[in-house]
Amino acid sequence: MRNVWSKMLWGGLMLLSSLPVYGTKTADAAPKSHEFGNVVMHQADNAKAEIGSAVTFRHWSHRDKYTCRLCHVDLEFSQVANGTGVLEEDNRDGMYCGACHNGTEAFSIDSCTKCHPKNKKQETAMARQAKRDFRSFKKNMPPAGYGNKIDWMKAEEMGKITPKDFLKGVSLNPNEQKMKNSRNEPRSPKLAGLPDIIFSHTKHAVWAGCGMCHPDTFALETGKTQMTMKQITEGKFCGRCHGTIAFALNDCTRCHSKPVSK
Amino acid sequence: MGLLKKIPPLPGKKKTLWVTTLALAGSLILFGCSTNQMSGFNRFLARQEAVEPANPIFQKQYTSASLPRSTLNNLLAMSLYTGPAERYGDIIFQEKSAKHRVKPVVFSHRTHRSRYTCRVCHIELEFSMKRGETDITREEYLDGLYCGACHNGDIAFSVKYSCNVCHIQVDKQGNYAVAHDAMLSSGQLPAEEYGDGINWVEAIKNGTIAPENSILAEEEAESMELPKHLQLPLRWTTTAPRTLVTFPHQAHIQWLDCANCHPDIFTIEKMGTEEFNKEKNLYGMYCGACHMTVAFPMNGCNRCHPGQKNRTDSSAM
Repeated sequence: MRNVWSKMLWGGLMLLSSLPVYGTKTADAAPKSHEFGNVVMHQADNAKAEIGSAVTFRHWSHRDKYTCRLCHVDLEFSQVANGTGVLEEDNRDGMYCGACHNGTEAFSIDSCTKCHPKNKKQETAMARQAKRDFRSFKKNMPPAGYGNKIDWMKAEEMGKITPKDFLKGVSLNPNEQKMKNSRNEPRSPKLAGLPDIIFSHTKHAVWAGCGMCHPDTFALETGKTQMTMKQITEGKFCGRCHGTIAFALNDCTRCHSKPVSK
Repeated sequence: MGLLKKIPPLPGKKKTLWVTTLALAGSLILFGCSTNQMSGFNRFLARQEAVEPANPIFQKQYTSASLPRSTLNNLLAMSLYTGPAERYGDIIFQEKSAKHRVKPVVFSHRTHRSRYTCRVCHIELEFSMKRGETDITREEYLDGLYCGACHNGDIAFSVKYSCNVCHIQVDKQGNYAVAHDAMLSSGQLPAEEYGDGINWVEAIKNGTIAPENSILAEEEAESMELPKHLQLPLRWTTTAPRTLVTFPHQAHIQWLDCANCHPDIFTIEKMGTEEFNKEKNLYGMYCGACHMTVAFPMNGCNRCHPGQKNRTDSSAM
């Protein structure tokens, strides 16, 4: 009998220990516009090295020049931090960062310390400089309430920025006829009383093309993807970009834009 | 499943005995205890619904046991605010100033909140809710960021000239001279027995103050209108009626943006915030993020727990 009980006890303990441990949150770390969309790239074999060697990639300094699709589809950058596994060898071979950072399109990867700070002190100095650069960049951009506090969509529409969607030797023929979908998808939130959502294909396709969302994140058929706002805040569906890179999830009325029908 | 298979089969007679005892115990746990608790809770619900019929009560269920009452009492006695009202909500910024040998900055939430809502600074001006995390430099506030956004000589006194208004002497015991504020000492604001001595929610309600909700020049940031079911105060409780909490969204959005709390401090899912309990609040999480240091402190028990007494006198605890 003791044997059975001990087994049940162990089983129970194992079950208990496998339960998820929920983190608790205190106040939000600052809603800093100059740090919104920053990704710290620190790979496993890199972790042993000096603290300063991690690369802080700033989305804001790239997205005025290139579309999302160019890096995340054509250059095969993962949308998960450290998910790409970029090696120096790859960069030297013209992949990933090296596709542009070759001395012609952008500064060469030979200037290591432009991205890899030597030590903590340089890292702080670089962050401070980036904040200054961001401030002067932001001054000419249409403002927004959250995230980078730059209305990127409007900036593109106004012609203040013209993000490239083609990179020679990497992207396919730029003159190739692209598939177009200018349909607006109205979606009604499950919760009554919330403003309706208008999803614009046109506005998304400028940056993301088709392949960044379909068919992996969103099913091709309208209304087939079942999602909740909770899942989105956890980084799924729309939350894959919105909340970390594209305009922040705090910006409720950007999506929930159509007044409640009475 | 694998575990179940490993248990050796029991001999016939003993097996039936086991099954009956297990079934009895199971039914006791399932029906016996829960019906007792539920009926008590249901009686409580019925009473509450008679008071406020339109507004449902959500029952909170915790995965861990709560603190013993005596421990919680001690914790409350330790963490409630008993200092002078003029200094409640004051923050001494000295991380950088000490390094640069200038006097620290004493920031008074009290004098600012009669003029601006929380969201102006904590969303629009990007002030962190954690002290020292905003990382303000002289270069930045002279360029119109952070304090410099208002303290430019137009809206408020300029950061360029009036250094000594903010950078003041703080002695080793943390004492400093509290600046005089005509608005606060006029006696027009509704008084409160705890915290900073002012009932700010009441002050907005009766029109004594009308703090600005946005200083963005370009276009006014408009908050999403609350859906109807969130306009009424939410009510939560556990199985113990004394824990009933009323939470008014309406009173909060007069000061805050949805984004100040959601989804970082509280999830957006109904009853979705795990482990949201009194101790965590007292440790400065969840409600405690504001209601321990800036918004009215938890001495005002009655503001959230209807029917409970406020803890205003420290000696009585």
